[in-house]
Amino acid sequence: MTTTQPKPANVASGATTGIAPGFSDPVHESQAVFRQILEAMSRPGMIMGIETTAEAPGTMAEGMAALSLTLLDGDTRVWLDAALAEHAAVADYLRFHCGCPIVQSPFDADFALIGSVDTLPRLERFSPGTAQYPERSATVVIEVPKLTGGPATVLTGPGIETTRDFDPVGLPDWFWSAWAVNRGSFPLGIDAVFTCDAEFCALPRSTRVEA
Amino acid sequence: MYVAVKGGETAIDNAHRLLAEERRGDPDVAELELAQIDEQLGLAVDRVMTEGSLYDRRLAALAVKQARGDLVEAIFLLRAYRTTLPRFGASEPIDTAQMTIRRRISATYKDLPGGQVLGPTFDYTHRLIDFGLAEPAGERLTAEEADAGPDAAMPRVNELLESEDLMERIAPPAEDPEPFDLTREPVGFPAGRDQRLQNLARGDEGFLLALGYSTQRGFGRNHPFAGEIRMGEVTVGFVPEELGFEIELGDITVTECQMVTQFTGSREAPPQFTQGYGLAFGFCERKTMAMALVDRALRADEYGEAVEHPAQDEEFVLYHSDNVEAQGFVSHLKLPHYVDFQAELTLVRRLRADHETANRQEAAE
Amino acid sequence: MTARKSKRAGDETGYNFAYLDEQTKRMIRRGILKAVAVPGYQVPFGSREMPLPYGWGTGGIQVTASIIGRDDVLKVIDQGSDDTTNAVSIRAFFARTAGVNTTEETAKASIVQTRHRIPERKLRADQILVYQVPIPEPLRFLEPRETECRKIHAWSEYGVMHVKLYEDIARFGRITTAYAYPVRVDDRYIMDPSPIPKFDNPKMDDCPALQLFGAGREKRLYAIPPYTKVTSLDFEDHPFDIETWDEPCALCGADDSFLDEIILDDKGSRMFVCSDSDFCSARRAEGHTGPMADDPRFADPEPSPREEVSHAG
Repeated sequence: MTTTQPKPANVASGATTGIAPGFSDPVHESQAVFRQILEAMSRPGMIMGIETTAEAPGTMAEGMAALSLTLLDGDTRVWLDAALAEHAAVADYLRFHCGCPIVQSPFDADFALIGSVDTLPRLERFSPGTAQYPERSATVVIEVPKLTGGPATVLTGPGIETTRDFDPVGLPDWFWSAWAVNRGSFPLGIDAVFTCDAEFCALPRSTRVEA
Repeated sequence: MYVAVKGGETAIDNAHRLLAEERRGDPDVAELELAQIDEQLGLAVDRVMTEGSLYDRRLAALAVKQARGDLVEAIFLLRAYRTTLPRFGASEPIDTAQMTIRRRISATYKDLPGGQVLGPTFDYTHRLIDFGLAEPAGERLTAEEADAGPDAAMPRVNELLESEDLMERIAPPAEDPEPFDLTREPVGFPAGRDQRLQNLARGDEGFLLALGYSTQRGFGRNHPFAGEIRMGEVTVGFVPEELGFEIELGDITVTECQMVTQFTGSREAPPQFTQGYGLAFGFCERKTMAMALVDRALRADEYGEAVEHPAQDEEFVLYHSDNVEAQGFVSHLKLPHYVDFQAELTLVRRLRADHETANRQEAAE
Repeated sequence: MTARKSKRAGDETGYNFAYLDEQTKRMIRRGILKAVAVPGYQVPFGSREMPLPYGWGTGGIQVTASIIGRDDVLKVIDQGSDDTTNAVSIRAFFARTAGVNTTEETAKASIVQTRHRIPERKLRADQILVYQVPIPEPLRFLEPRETECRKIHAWSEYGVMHVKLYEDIARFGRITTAYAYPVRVDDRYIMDPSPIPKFDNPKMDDCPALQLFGAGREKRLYAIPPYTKVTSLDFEDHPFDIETWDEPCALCGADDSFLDEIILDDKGSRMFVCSDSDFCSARRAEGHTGPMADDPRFADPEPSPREEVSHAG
């Protein structure tokens, strides 16, 4: 007995449409990228790298593009910050490869893609989920200028054996106090992923930060 | 013996071979063909399609053959296959008012527009074993064709009642959203009626039959009348994204049951009958009647009726209706559990030791 | 043990790599990430009907299928053993649909799927442990209603659980839960550890490996991230304790592993051996012996060298 599998939305090359190509081997590349994301989410602040054949659209960096191809589809509502929204190529790419609906309000988003820390909305503008369904919250993916070398913070919590140093560059000065509020509302809250070119790390809502 | 748990791989292979042999049975007896199952065990095929949530007579017949006639196993096979199928979209709603009728009865009216059509029913057969069927008949039995087919106009009983405002009107929810699909998302509570009806349509016929029966015996009574049961062919239409207009995919056979149930009313609303609904692929009349009874019982909340009985209890019914889930979890008791049993053994021995010590101390004091 | 041969996935099976279609994997992957972000919380997911029955590991299989890649080495155990029928069946499923390499050695596996045990050998940070879970709701037998349980978890009002455990103590003098013993994860959610014996509970605490839990029929995913505080519920005057045996493993002499009781004859004579078959054979390969190690009844028919990874394809 054989079945034909549906063609994955992100298999098409887009060559004729002017849309940047996605993964050349969607099944195995998305698996590899997912394992990196899983590792990152399991070990907050640990920096992971992505190797990908996908090209990124417009101003989006390749790491964020690979994360998008891996996690987004017709069942995820996506919000783009001003830095990404101003290039139509980004929304076109996401619609073409992932088929995800793009929403206008950050609060409606399952995933928010932030092309620039300068246009990162306040965290309370994203959905933190509900007390009975805390998973109905946003994952916010933020492109930062550098993942290390910024103001030092120390992370503790699940996934961290003792403590982990974390010092991304360019976060707004309100960010860590906002994160403390986010952590304080656990199990509600957003989960953050910081990307920088082809590298990234994650900050799940369970992580405590000493700035 | 310790070694008895070893060699699992060989044991499994051997069991599969034995199963294949038993499935075939005596090779001197002709092997079943799918067409025979489809044509002569059609109601088994219908049930497997209904609870397997997949309209494909040939595949369902194959599942019945592969499962050696175990219908729950056949339903499982069809379901497991179904989940691997690509999904092109949702069809347009079928319109059972446009059904090409093969059977249509109403227990609430002696006669009604379109008439009563008995169709191929067991209802008035005397359940006497027909020894004549023991040997192949050879010649074909044919029913005489009626002078005229059923009237083209065959309004639904509920619509007759609705036109007098005697039946509650059920409109689709605002903006008519796509129905919930519990094969893609887990059920949530409170479940909408779309979730419930999908669950019941896939639900085990025996389970629903018993629950429906329990409402008739007072465990959630809702005064049902078989308002209308119809069976026949309806057309399935689909609007492909790229075309933008409806095309016909083909005809399917369905059975539909609308129960007319207990009236309600309040100071604001005049008394009206309520309804329960059942629908199944093929000719699954018992299933649709049971489904309609349980659907109505589960609407207790809507009418401010106390939820006191199993058939009215949404969590109880929806969590336990699915025979693929139920048979899996019951049958998993056959898997080895000796680690947990060892843990319990150790505990019981300790508790007994505690007990003995306590008794001895008591005796000493 | 001979190398297991399997066709490369997709060649003949007609199914996608690791059976599940990509959209289903994405849905499960997103659920797993939420589960990791909210340790111990049960994330509902659109569990699919698998070609194995519900209750036979469909949740664990879906989790494994969603995370596994071509480079992974998979170990599957049931009751601690690689050779129990259901473990064999699940391992064969992945060898066939994903073409991955499999092993019986805990140390060589990158993913271990388990039913009812945690391996005795301490897991490493580069390993993932996937549990098959029958009833993920730790409160289920105190409160059968999903809607009520969800509220208890939401408001962290776990009094009912403590009352139950305390009633045990009042009646029997000790807590009478021997397996699926409830734990609290990072001081927040009470979680069902799946029906592992409580002997295994301490291994969940501060474990370097990621632990993922899949309940297929009940359609729930949950997780314990690495190095997370996992405490077994107890009382100050009745601290949590684990099973102990009066004798060591009859074959390898281990006195710190979970032992299965083997009935030897109808006179009631019995022996105790490690439930973790890899742990036991590794110890015997290292020369450790138990009191019945020389008994010819339990000698390996042909003493095989320690198994290497079985290469698929």
